[in-house]
Amino acid sequence: MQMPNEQPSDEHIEKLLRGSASETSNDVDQALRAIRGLGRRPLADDVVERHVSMIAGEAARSPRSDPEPVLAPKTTRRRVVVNAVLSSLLVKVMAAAVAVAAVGTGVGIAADASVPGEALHGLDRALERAGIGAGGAIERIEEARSLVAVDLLPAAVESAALAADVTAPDNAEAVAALEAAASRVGGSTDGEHSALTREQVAALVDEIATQLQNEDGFDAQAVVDRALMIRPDVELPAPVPQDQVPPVSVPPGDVPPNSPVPTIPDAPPSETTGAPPQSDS
Amino acid sequence: MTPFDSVLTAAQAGAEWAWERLYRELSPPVRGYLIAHGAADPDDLLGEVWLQVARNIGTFTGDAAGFRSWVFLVAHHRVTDERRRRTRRPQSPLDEAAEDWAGFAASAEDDALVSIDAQQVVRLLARLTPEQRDVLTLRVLGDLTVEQVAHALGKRPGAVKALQRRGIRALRKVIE
Repeated sequence: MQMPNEQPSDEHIEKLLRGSASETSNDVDQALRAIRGLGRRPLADDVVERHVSMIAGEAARSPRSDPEPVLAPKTTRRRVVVNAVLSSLLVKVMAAAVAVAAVGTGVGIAADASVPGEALHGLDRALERAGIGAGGAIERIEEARSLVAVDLLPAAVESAALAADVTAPDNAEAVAALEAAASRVGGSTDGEHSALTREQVAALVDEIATQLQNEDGFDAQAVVDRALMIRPDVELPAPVPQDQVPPVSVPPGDVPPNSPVPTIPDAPPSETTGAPPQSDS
Repeated sequence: MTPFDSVLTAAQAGAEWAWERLYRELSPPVRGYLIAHGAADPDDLLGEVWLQVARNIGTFTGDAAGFRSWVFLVAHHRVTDERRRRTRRPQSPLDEAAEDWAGFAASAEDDALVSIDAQQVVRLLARLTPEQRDVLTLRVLGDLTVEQVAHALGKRPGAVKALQRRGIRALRKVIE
């Protein structure tokens, strides 16, 4: 315990500055925590939107900007798959970026810039009608599709989960089911996925995109159902006689595919359609 | 290529989603840093910081920690500029921070730090010298190492350690 009149050691100061001092009643520690609290204040959505649009435009005009993102090598992408499943928030969101770098198109930009006649435009309009501005769910969906295209399936599911979370933040069960699916996909291989898994993930992303446009509101149960179908850790057995079907191994704490689907109460329409864009960080 | 490299590459190409991620990750502490230094309009200054980052993003090379340090260096330059301008103006949040901070001590006992009045924290920091304030806020809000702060401020690591030691001592004196 640091006494009030003692000179603090460098080690103690270091702990205070890092917020890891064991004594939290110390006045200086409290003061430093209050200073740290200045950096935890939420940003206003309109400020974020205005700034991001402004700085991206500035960067695009920068003469040193590289218009062609570098193609990520496949070995790196495999490592990113593992990282995405381990997922600190930073890793989680940045893993999605590899897809755009890999396909070299910047699909995320296209989402915001969609115009009438383009495939994204209908979804873009629907989201805007629902009160969801640019920079939210639509970008997550497009990222997810890009990630599926380059076989980064765990990150794709996580992007899809972010889209669902942005749209219907109260549907914690749906988001949890999606995150569990991402974990199953990432834990099943070191990066190579079966065609079936890829199809399942693509179907999941499509389901979320469909629900985003659902005029009756976001059907979280439909998303949960899709998420539970993704079982890459369960090998499909070859056809065998009915009396010789082997037991299916299911990891502890996980939900087998034929289990009763958890019921999620419908959120009030006002909470699912009138919510402002949510931060994914 | 690391995940950060991919975001950086996309940001350098002007991808809005990449900038949104960098912005959302770093803006809260950067804005806190600007508030701590008495910025009159922290949101406006935050925009200026990011504009400068965007203009120079093509020259940046490094990892995520290096990027964070760089953004705070830009923020430090902006608040230093504003501090100079402030010396030519009579009123600013720091100039007005002459009150005691009796109300602050009670609030700080609450774990919900975000509920503490920012002005109370600014008043507290106003009791430090500018250099002490620079060091403590870069360490606490920027989460920078002694070496990174030394680089940002153009000082030796030993000088930064001495400043943070004196800053802590000054904080304790104010509180007591």
